[in-house]
Amino acid sequence: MQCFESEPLRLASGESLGNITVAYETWGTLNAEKSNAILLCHTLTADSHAAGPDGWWDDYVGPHKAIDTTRYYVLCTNVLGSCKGSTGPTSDAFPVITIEDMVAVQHACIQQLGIEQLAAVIGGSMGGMQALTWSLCYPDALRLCIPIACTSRLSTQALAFNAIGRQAILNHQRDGLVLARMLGHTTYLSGDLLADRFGRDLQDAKPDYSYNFINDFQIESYLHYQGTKFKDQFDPYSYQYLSKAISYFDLDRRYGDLKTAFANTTAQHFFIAISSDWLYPVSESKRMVQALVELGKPVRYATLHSPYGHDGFLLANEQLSQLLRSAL
Amino acid sequence: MIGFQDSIVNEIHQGARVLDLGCGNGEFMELLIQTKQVIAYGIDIDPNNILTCLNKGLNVIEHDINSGLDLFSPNTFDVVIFSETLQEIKDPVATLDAILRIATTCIISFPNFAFLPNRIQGLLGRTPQSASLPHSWFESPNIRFLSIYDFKQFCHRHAIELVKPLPLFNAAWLNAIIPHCLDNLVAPRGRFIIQRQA
Repeated sequence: MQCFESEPLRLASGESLGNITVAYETWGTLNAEKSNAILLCHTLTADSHAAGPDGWWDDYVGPHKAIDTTRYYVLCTNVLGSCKGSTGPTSDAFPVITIEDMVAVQHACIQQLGIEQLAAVIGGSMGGMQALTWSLCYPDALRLCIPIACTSRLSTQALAFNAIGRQAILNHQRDGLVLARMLGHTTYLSGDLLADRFGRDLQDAKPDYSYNFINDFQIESYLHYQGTKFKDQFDPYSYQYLSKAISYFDLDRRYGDLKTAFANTTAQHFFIAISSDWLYPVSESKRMVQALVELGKPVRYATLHSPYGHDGFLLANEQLSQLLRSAL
Repeated sequence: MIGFQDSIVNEIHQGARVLDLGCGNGEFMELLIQTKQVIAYGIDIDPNNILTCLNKGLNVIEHDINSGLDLFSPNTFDVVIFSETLQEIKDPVATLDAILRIATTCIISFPNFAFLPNRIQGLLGRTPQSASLPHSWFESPNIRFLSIYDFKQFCHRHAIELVKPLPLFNAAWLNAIIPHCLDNLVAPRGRFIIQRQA
């Protein structure tokens, strides 16, 4: 889909971007009233392929699944700045984009499809930031907002991890992606999970250390595998731009405080945070819950009890299925 | 005289901002929404209760009261309902202090350890079990054992005003014939409206 063809999108940075291509996928059927559409927002490195074989949320999206495609028309667009079919950087000449810019593009797509109001916007991690932005920037364009494993702003520690990832890419271009991914992946998992799965076990059940700089521990070869695989699947420029976009995301700064941020929202909010997520911890979601309670607005919050850390919402989990079902 | 639930409903004004601490399956929130059109939020720690409330469309927040109530700013609510939970709280002083910080008024109920059948069981050398203390010692979530008398003393010492005692029995006729001075002996539960002392 093409948007901003006649008039370019004015970006948060002040620059403009026109003729934007958006890759998207849909599941289910849009009803006559166009009232049953759900927008799924993907994470930093994912794409529009949410459901179906190899879909990043296939456990939750499909006929009679938690997000039931026999009832809902489900859409997922690849975000602006990504490298999975939508317009994104091919060099550092591309303007820096923000989460608000990504959502402006999604909003234009939804309007092109003739949808006035979405039944829900659902997303985890960076997708949660998009869901929140929908509710704040286009309050009448959605009825339900479900940010999962999300935050209103990155912690200093999370900013630091992002900076290291980007520096690796600045220094080593595509090879830097390996390090960025190894680091990122570690932050998406919990320490307990890593200990459970890999412990200090040695690679190939070797009896002793190699006394060399090859991968000795299982965790080393696991991360190396993840990093190398990622290197061929993602674009280093896209990674830089998207990492910058989540680093810039800060509702407190943008609106003064969270109460002001949510003041004009009309959608129902349902926050889900993951018990073992130390990157975007439970307390971050609860800060936003607090703001909505103080405004007397409808809000719900549940903890997803998962040992898998920040990425826990991407794995099959019966509790998450039940929570999503209950909200829809 | 009227029963307990009705008496609470009567105490809550139309459209009040209500927080139900330990809201369970959300039954009471539903009642208050129906009868008083309140803006109700519930807090519970049990994921099954959270799911039940979500399915009823209630504003429920999964949270452990023992981890504090800093989640809310002062005077966020008109009323906090704190029903049958005090006896499970690690730090009752801090919790009651927090409740009366985030709300003007608290409606509280707790099992009365000095209830006559409990006293008799105690004298017989057994850990009391009764309608308001239904658990065996090895499975009880209760960690605080207090009587109505204890609670009154506590409030006095901690600058908490007992605005009024609420009807103690679910059956209206019992409330009509039993005077409040016998509460500590004959009531299975203590039920009060409390506020911070002015």
